Amino acid sequence: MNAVPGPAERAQAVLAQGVHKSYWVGPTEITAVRDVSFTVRPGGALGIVGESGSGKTTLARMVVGIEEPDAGTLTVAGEPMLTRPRGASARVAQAKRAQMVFQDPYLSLDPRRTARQSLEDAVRAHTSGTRADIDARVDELLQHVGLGEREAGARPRRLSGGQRQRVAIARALAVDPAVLVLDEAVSALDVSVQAQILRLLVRVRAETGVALLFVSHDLGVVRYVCDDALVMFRGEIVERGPVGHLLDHPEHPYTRLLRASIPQEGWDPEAIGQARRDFLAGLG
Amino acid sequence: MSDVLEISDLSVTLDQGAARPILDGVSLTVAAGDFVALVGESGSGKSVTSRAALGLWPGQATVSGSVRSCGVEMVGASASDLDRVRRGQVGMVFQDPRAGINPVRRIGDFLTEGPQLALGWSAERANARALELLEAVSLPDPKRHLRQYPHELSGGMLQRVMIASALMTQPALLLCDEATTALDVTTQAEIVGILTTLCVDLGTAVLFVTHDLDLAAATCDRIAVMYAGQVVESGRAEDLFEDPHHPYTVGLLDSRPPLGGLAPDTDLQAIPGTPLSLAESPAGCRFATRCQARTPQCETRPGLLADGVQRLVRCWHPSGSTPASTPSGARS
Repeated sequence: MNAVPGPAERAQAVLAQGVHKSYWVGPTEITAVRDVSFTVRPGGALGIVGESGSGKTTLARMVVGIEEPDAGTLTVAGEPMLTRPRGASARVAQAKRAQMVFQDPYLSLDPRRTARQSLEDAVRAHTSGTRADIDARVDELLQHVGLGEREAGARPRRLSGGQRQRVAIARALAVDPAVLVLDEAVSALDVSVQAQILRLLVRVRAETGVALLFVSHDLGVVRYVCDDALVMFRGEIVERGPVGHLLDHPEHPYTRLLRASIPQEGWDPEAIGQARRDFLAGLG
Repeated sequence: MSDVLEISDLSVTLDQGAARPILDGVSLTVAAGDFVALVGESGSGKSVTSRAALGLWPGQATVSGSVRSCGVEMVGASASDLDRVRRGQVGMVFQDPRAGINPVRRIGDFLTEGPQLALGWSAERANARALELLEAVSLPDPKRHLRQYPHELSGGMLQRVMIASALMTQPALLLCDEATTALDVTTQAEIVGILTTLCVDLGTAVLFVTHDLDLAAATCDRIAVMYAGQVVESGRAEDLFEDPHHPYTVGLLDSRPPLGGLAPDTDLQAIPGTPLSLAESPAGCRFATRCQARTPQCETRPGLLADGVQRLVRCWHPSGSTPASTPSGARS
């Protein structure tokens, strides 16, 4: 829906070119993201894989405009994302380009609003419809993410982790964004519930055409949700490709280490430990 | 006495605010030198069970049954019995090393203080042991680390310090409660490698508490799966993994997106519903509301019954007996 024909960036849901971001910690400059380029096509799903400190969360935050790059180009649906868009209409327009779902929905949902009220707030901010229109849209969203009447009337503390994450996803979808950014959005969930949310995400993407930028340390989960993935290490992309190929035939030593580290049949933690020490030593 | 941990029919009931016991008739044994995993989702009671080995109970709870740690009864134990077990016989590594280590003391003091004060070790003996263990957990510069403060080390390095600390007195049993969950996967692999090698060398048994069934299977000889305060299935790791009998174990295994991708024309199988809260207390099987194999019989409580070699299952319809009614998916 946002694939407006025109310049190259307009054809992409997300376009990053030479993106750079660093922070100052006291007198030391720490580069979080270094010269990162990638695209997400409209309706596509890109996984960003990496360990803590790899820069994957910083990248996700730049895509939704919580941070701005120091250098490089980053556009979402053809427009740059600003930390402080000027004016209400610019803020609303930016919110329609990218929405984010965080790891802990307990912290990102208003504790005093019920699930239904949270969704109403989001819908009302983005449409000028009648009360009936808003109610209909909220019902549609609740149904979309599999929340019933009881959950809709509950405040976040009365909901389970999985239900809260459903509310967070519905709230993000309320504005019909071009891109949904999920930062470790299923990591804190129990596996049985995580599987429900993963299936939900795949279905939502198929039904709404929203593009996904899916940040996770879990390779199996990324494989299930995404078409393509990129592997980050210390702020840089070390490998990228279609997710199946990337995991079945990893080429970069770090990707291979990451793949081998996951507990599986024939897992040899001692050999992995040695490989990790060798890899880190090789970096100098 | 060859069992370092013998839990039998352990029940823990909170005095307020819960409709069902948080542990309900849990039995579990860990033999000397054995590696046993306790697997479950949040609220399953796996942490409460592991803490019972140290006589650590939730506040305001009623405890019944028996927990023998290295032959010492922990239910209703005297202060001196508790001290004896906690000081030298059972060690514990928690998930977050930063929460378990005094931030204003040096690593060396943290490691040596306990054995010196509680067991009367000389400073020389404690220091020598600390140095030896920091080397054994593959820290790069043990002598320097002894003089460092916790904030100078990364999470992975600090977790190695915690492992060293738990093994100072060469305990017969080490409890690891999600000890590698907060670490990156490459670090987790390295630390699990160090931990297993060290415990095998020392002859220390390990009770490995985790939500990660793959990690449990890759690390341990035996696995017990917990759901809503009960052990629902236990057995040898490879049996349980390759041929799960309880519908919950089947569901857990099918819920993980496979690293190698799904088989063609299959989808991820989620367990419907949410884990049982403490406010819910079904009369019958705890898992029945989420189980696709349930029948009217499931309204009566199933017992934990033998189901094959070294295998126990708490289910009226374990896989194998009624294959047509069990949830099927990528696994066949």
